[in-house]
Amino acid sequence: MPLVDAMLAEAGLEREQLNAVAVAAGPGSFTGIRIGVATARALAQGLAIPAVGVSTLEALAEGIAAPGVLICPLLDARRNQVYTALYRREPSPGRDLEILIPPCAADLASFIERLQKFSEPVVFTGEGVDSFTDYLSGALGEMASLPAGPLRLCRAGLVALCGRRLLEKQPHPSYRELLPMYCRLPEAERLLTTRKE
Amino acid sequence: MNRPVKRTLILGIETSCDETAAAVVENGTCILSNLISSQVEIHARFGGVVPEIASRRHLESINDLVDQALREAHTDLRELHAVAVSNGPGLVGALLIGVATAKALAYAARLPLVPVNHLEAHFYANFLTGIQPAYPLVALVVSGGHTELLLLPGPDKPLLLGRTRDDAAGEVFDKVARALGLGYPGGPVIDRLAVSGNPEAIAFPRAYLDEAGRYDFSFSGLKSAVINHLFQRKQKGDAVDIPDLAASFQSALVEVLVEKTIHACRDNRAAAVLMAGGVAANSLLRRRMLERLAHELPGVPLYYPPPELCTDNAAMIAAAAYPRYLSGRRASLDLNAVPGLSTDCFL
Ligand SMILES: [Zn+2]
Repeated sequence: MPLVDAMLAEAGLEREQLNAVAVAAGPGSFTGIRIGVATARALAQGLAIPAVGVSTLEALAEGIAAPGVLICPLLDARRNQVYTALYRREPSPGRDLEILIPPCAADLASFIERLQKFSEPVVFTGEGVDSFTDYLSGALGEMASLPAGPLRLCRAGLVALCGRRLLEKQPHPSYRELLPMYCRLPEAERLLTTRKE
Repeated sequence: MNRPVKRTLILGIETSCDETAAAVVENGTCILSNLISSQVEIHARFGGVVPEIASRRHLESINDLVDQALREAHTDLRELHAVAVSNGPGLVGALLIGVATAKALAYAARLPLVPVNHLEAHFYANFLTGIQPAYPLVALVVSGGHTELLLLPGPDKPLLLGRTRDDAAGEVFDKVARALGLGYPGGPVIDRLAVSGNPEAIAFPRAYLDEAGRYDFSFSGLKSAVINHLFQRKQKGDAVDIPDLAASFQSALVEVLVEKTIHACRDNRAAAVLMAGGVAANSLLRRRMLERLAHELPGVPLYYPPPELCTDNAAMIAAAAYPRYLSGRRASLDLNAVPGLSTDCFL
């Protein structure tokens, strides 16, 4: 909240002038995305404006401008997994992101196998890349393109941009429908289902 | 024409454990709305509260509850005077939902944000019944999460006298009920069974502790004694008289609660006694406390809230916020959840 306040002050805006709120709704740390989503929901409720949840992975992909290439955001999901997805920026006028593989939690090795089947260059982004630089170059060689560190961060500006795209498609989303994109069951529920199986 | 009486409307938000709650209270005493969305059934299949699941549910229901609370109170955000939230003690992930929601709502509607200690809020539930007790008063807060003795020299400055060193009283009720196969929650069923039992059938230990622990509690010894008793009976193949055991256990636990509260009243010349929390609904606790007060401290009244205000709710958060709001207590936008938040005297 202090950041929201400072940001508005710097932009010379009053909170009542906001037309909509966009939030990175995950995947990511459960608690982290919940704080963001709870804040966005209540801001929208309090200001009576629409709110949209943006996939953190899509916001990351939004930061890669090149049309035509495959874009693969990676976030560390612990337990030897990554949160990832696969996009392609359409060369057409809108230059929208096409979703080839929707957001999921996956083992990196098996996900790379799926990527190899495309036999196309892949641009990686996201903070998860840091931990796997060598692995990605080893597995995909020339096909893996790794932008410099600062280009791989998820910025609030990218979230707002994705939010605007969503709002253009659906102008009045309610904060009621805004929920985190966990991509994973709670541990207790996962254990309960595995025990039943 | 009469000027309208000054109304202070506070929205309370509560998400510290497994109940999501929102309420609107006028002047700290009059409930305009009080909504609770319980998750008891969701957690039942896991045999206890799962923090991650509780947090997910809080987020899904809190905004609708706020909406509904405002609607039922025939008001809206602009008419409120403050937003109050419990920021501890409790489960950190669960508390964070209430805190983030309250901060953003207060910011959006330009309202003051008042932080409330969940534990203190429990005894403010008493003020929602319209009582105006004299001070100083002693409060006994007993539930599945807490067992604390507090002293209030005035309406808004509680001092912690003592607390449990191990299990909370309500927790022991639950554990004993589970050992007896009586299900959850344990308090009401033990209370009911004890009625037909003999409280002197089994001599269970009562921990009064040393002078330094004059106002502290310890129930782990009692809990082990009950479980050992059951185990030995089973080993010998003897039948267990459940009503006798329930009555003997309950009487041992209640006796300590009452004894320590009476001590605290004597030492601090209390003018009234307040009880709060789920265990405050226990019939033996109420009866014994009334008997001892009438006998040893005549004229000192006992107050306790109705059952629906004994358990976690948001009306008590708004009620507790009222004197704090009047005395100018405000939280900044960086208010955080504090799972181990202690009472004000230690801040
Ligand atoms: Zn409580």
